[in-house]
Amino acid sequence: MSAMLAIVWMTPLIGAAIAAVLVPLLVALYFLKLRRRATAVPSTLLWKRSVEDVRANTPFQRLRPSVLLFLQLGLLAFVAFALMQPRMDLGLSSSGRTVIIIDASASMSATDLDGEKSRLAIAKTQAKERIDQLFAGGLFSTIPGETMVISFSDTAKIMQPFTRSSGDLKRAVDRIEQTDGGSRIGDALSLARAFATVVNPETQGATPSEGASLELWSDGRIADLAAEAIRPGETVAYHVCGRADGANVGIEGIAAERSATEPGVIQVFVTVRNDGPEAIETDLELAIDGVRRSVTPKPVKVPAASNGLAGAGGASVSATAAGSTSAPYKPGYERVTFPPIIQPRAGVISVSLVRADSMIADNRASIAVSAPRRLRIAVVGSIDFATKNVVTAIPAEKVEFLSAAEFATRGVKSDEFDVVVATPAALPAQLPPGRYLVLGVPAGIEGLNPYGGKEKLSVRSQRSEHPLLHAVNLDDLFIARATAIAPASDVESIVEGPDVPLVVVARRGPVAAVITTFEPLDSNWPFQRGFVTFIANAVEWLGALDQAAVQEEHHPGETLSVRTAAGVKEAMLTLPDGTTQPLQAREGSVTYGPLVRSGTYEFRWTDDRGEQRRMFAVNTAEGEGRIAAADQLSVGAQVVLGTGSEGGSLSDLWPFALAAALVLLVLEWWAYHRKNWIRPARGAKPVRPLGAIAPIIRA
Amino acid sequence: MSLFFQGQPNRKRPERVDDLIDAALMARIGQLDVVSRKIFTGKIQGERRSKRRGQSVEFADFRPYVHGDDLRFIDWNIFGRLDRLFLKIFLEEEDLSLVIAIDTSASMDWGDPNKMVFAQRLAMALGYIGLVNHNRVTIAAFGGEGGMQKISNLRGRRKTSEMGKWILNLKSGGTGSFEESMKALALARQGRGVMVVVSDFLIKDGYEKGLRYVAGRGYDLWCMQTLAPQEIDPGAHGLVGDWRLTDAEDRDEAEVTASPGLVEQYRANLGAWCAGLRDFAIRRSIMHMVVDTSTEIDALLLEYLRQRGLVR
Repeated sequence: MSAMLAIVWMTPLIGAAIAAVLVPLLVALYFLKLRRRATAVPSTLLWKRSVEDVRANTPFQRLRPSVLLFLQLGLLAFVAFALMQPRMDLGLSSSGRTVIIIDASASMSATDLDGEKSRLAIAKTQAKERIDQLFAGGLFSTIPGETMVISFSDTAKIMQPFTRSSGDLKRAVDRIEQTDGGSRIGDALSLARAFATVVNPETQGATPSEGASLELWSDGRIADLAAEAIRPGETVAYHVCGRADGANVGIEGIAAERSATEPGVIQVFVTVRNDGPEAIETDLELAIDGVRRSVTPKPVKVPAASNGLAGAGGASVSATAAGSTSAPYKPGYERVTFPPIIQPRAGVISVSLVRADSMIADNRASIAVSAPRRLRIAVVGSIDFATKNVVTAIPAEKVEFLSAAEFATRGVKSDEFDVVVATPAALPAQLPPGRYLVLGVPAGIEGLNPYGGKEKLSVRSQRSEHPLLHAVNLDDLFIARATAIAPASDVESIVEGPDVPLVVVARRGPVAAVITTFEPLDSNWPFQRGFVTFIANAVEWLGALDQAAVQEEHHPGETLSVRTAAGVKEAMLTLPDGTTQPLQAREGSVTYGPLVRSGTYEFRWTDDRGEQRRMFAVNTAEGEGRIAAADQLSVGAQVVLGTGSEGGSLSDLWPFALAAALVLLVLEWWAYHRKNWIRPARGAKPVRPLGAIAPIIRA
Repeated sequence: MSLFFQGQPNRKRPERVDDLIDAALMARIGQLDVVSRKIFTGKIQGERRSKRRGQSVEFADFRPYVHGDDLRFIDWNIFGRLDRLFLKIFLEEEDLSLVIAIDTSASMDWGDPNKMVFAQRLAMALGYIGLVNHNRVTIAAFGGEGGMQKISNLRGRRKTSEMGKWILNLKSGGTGSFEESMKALALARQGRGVMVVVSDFLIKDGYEKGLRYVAGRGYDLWCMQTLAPQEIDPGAHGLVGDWRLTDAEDRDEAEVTASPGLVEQYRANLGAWCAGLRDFAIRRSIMHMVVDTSTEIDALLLEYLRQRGLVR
């Protein structure tokens, strides 16, 4: 869709009223006789002979074409034009329903436009101007269409439902906060469409067939844009925020690992990403709890990104989506491994780039590590020997074998064991909070929906990228019998049989469980190497879920959850900006989310063992480092051209009108004096007394 | 912009005779005399040579005695030699009649320097020249409210004060007819001489009929057309913009927008008006002269009028 130029009148009534009064007045004044200065002369004889414009004695004279009149009319027209406060709209003018969608993802924090204000701040300013413009129809306009405001990053948030109050809309825009999350517009579009559906044309001011006008302020780096489409009747205006040549270097990922042999030693791994057109060199600095501990011995060289910086926005293969035949975009990566650091205590490890660029959010990445501690494992019920052997072999603080009855009495203390390995029969109907590896389908977890059995199954698909299946090969797995389940949508299936899930991960509040739908001995799995790896992965993954030796890396949009002792009612959370807020603990767990900003989150609570503390490091969403603004969007198969990348999309015209009026005033002055210009007499007195009248004498 | 067109004309009036003519000017013009291009007979013997033979010391001719001739003029020496009576004929010296007619109509009370004041000073100077040369000086004022006034037959330097006071008391204003005034002057003519009419000649009814009465009737006629600088070039004296001009005499109004084109047109019309008067004068042996009121009186008399032959 191409941009249209439109003029918006801020105060049309004033200008129109002025013009309506003054223009006829000016013309009437030209009809009227001039007001003249009076003086006496010896005789009007010669004057009457000379005068051209002595007119009849009627009060009105014939209107004659006059340069002065036209100049004055033009001057009045420009003044009236200026009083209407015209503004030129560089975007779309809309009289229907409008949805203002503002990208608040991490890349919008870049300050590449003016070096001080972030893209989001500029986008908010432009959006407010746009709201002014939408509601600036004045008294001559019809009722303005309804407008709503949505912000989005990983998720969308309705800041203001459809309203006709420009004040509410502007306040809603002001409330939009910067996040460090990714850009996913799908939710925002769904929300917009849901609200924009016209069910009552009389009150909503639009017809059912009339689509909403979507106005998007973004840098165009939106991950899920290719999966969306513009529906019939919808219009999309894309206001580009950011420079097309924006370059950025950031830390894409961070990981830390304690040594298996020396738990007090941590090794930190970092991936540096370059989205600029040139390779860069930078130093990296590692700090633990704010104390600098290490710097890269020599600058790290990060290769340049390959293929175009700008182009159509969308997924990382945006160029392909736009129909281009050029190679897909690929940022430059460099992986850095820091030398091992001795850190026997818990802490937050931060790695920073010793380099400034326009987006500082991703110049620092953190990860929280807890003190080295080994797992406490409970084996409940009569599990098979193969599993028992594997679990026993896992290096743990303790492995305790319990009967179902013992577990029912002791297992209520959720913090006594990190992982529970159990058969379904040994588990109670209501699972206590904890993390479970269940070899079979338990009854205590909702959403599994068992409906019968299946036989002779093999693996059809597996999510190899899942940590549970790391280094696990299931190609040769054959299952004699399994329980058929129809899991709910929030149950994650990681191994699929022909038509039934074989391994699922279910999370129900404080309960997390990895469930196999078959018993190991009903398959040939125990005889395969992958079984050992899977059991070990499952125990470690479950143990690491909330309280492992080395924490996972978190990103905005996710939820943080901390297990507490059962009696804890409240915990305090310290946010990255230093503010604290109390959180209610429920069923031995404290949850906070979705995360908005990157940084360190710290939970504190007090239980019978004293004050407890857990720290989480949240890093900028992946993919947000590419800050080069897209000059067009590929929404599905359609391309939306961007408008107004820099500065306001609404530019004032009245100063130009005023300047033109001043020019006309000067011209009018010049024309008037040209008509009446008298050359000054040369010399105060003539040299000869009769010189002044000598021509008359000679005549 | 000139003060005049701001509505503040210079109305300073002469209050004493000295304001009309000071001692220095009197000294400079004392030796001047009014010259007539024609020699006319006067009523009494004056200091002026006349064509008429008479009783003077300058011998002109002889003629045979006829009955009735004055025996005192018989040349007895010729009678002794020739035994015939011859009469000696002398060139008779006559007095000169100088009539100065001043236009005192309202249109003259205008300008800076004021035309009326200028006419008074010019009349005073010319009258003084006439008095000191024993001419018969008559000052007439026409066009004023009280009709024509005049003071007649002044002769001799001692009448200077009387003439000056009379001129000082002249009041401008009125719309008297130029034609009637000239007719009255022509009828009241006593002898022959020089007549100087000082006026702006901006006469809506025309100056021709009036001048015809006095032209060729024994007067050597001079028309001194006095114009103020503001009349000659109004544009250079601040007449810019839109004006309502009121005629000083008949209160007629003319609305003008004083554009350069209009001012130029006015100057052309003024030139044509003056040229018309000059042509009329040439045809009737009248001397015509346009005088700017900013001209100094002594310069006018000692240079211009001397060159033109009114005084010598």
